[in-house]
Order: sequence, then structure tokens, then C-alpha cells
Amino acid sequence: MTTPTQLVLRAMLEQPSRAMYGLEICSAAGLASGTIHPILARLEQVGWLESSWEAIDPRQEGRPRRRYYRFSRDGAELARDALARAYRGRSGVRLGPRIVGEGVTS
Amino acid sequence: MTDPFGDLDRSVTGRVAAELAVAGADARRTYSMLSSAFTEAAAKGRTALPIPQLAQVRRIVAAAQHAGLPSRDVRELLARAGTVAERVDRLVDEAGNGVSDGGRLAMFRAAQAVMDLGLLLDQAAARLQPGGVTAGRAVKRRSGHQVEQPRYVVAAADLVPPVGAQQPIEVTAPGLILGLAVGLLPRAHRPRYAEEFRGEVRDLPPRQQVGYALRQCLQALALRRGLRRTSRGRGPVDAEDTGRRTPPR
Repeated sequence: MTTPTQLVLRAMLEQPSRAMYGLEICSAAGLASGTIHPILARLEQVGWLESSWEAIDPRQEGRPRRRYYRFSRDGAELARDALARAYRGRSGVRLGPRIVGEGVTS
Repeated sequence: MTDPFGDLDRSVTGRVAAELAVAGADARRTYSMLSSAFTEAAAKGRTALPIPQLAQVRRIVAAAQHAGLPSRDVRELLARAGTVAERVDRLVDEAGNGVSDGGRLAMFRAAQAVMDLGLLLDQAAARLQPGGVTAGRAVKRRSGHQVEQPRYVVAAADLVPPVGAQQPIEVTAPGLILGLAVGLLPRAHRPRYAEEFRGEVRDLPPRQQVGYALRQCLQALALRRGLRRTSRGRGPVDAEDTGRRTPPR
């Protein structure tokens, strides 16, 4: 699993029941805006995420609808398992705080 | 005309880069040839083409003059554009996980070159036929049977896809760039992503909007691959999805 995918999953798992749209996910994951749709498409493809349009009338609101993504029924659990496996097997980038001596930094 | 792959580091992507260079150069060469020919033809009132080496283009104009529709030759050109597009498409798939950012940019440029070609063919068809129909439709109507459309030859209208029924994408720099990004996606997914991107870009401060749109363009082929896998129903989530691998320790 790629680092950006892990970042997206971790961001969404902060509040697994919450629906978020693309910019929110980018911001929460610390990724540049406009970079996550391939990831979201893949996660939607495998059934971990579901997406739906925002329930507004664009004309009334004066803005386009947003596409919201949320975990499917089993998606959050599957994502946690996958992240755990990736964490155990990872050999690369650090995603969480680093333990230095007895303290926790960064 | 600049080779769109001139700055590609071929040592990074090897054979794929070399093939992409050929595909892109072919698209660009065709585009250049047609662009010059049609510009001159338009300047001269479409009465003649003083470019003897461009026999193919001359045949199109001659056909347009005598028959009204450039049936067979336009079909040949569309087929050629389709061949280039298929090659780019296949290389995008083959490049798959290992492709570098430079390689993805090269693919994007190749696709863009093909889209340029498609646009030019549209313009040519519009010039050659007062009714302004697209070349593909002209072929279909003239020959009376279905002509397979090259997948990557994109009509101008597809570059600025409709958002919903009556919400055209805004004619701003980000809007046009997003239109290009959306044009690279499979046709069935374009309306959804056009609206989704439009909804997101509106939430950004103006000076961030172009960057957002450009990043969408650079990601468009990765998204296209993902969406095509979706339609084929294959691929685990562990597979590459952005072109970037977790860096080694």
C-alpha cells in the first residue's frame, strides 16, 4: 500500500463515520489538493469507501455539489487491518509520531 | 514543433519511454502537419493547398470540394489518431507502477498531443463542412455505416464537459485546465468528475485554483487507469494507485 493511500486511510479513520469531500481529505491527510482522486477511486472500487453527492440544490446554494466519501459498512475495519499489516511490514516512511528515548517527538 | 518528449529521461523508464517518444512524436508530427495545412487552406479560402508534400491533407480538401464531405480520408486520419491513442493508452497501462513523475508527465503530454490532434480534426471538419459537424459524424453519415471512433480523439465539447444539465464549466484558467483533465478520463466518468472537481476548486482561494487544476491534470491518467480497472473489476487496493511507491528505508 502506498504512503498516500495510508495517509488517506488514517485521515478518514480519525472519524470513521464522518463523510468527507476531497479537499477535506487532502487537508486531513496532509496531501496537496488535487492528488487523491486516484486513491479514492481505488478505495471505492474495492468497496472500502462509498461516495454520494451532497444533498443540495446547486442553483439555490450558488455552488456545485460536493462528492462526499465515507467508509462502507466493513470498510473501516478492513482499512484498519490493512494499515496494521502495512505498519508491521513497512520499511519506509514513518506515519506516526516517533519515539525518541523516553519522549515522543514530532 | 517541439518534441513533447524531448525532456524525458529515457534511462528512467527505458523501453516505455522510448515508445512513448515515438507515439508522442507521431501525434505531434501529425498535428503539426495538419495544423499548417489547414491554416493555409483557411487563409486561401479553402480553394487549394500549396503544400505538395501533404498529399493526405490535399486529398481531404479535394474531397471536401467535390463531394462536400471528407469521408475516406478523414476516416484514415481518425484511424491514425486512434492508433496513436491506443499506443499511448497501452503504454500507460504497461508503465503501471514503476513509472516516475517524469514518465507520467510524458504520458500526459502524449495524451494531450493526441487530444490536440482530435481538436484539430474537429476544426478541420467544421471548416470543410459548413454545417460544422464533427469529422466522426461526417464519416458516419457519408458512408452510411457505423465507424468505430478512436477512443482518444476528443471532440472540443468534451474538453469543457457539461456539469449537470445546465451548468457549463466556467471559462477560467482553472476551469479550462480541469476540462482537459476531465477529458482524459473515460467518457462515462467525465460528468461526475467534472462536477466533483468543479465543486472542489470553488472552495479554494483563487491563487490555489490553478495549482489544484494542474495537479488534477497530472493525476488524470492515474485516475483513468483506476477507473478502467474499476470497469474491468480487478486490482487489489494494495496495487499502485498514484504512481508513487513507499520509499525504501
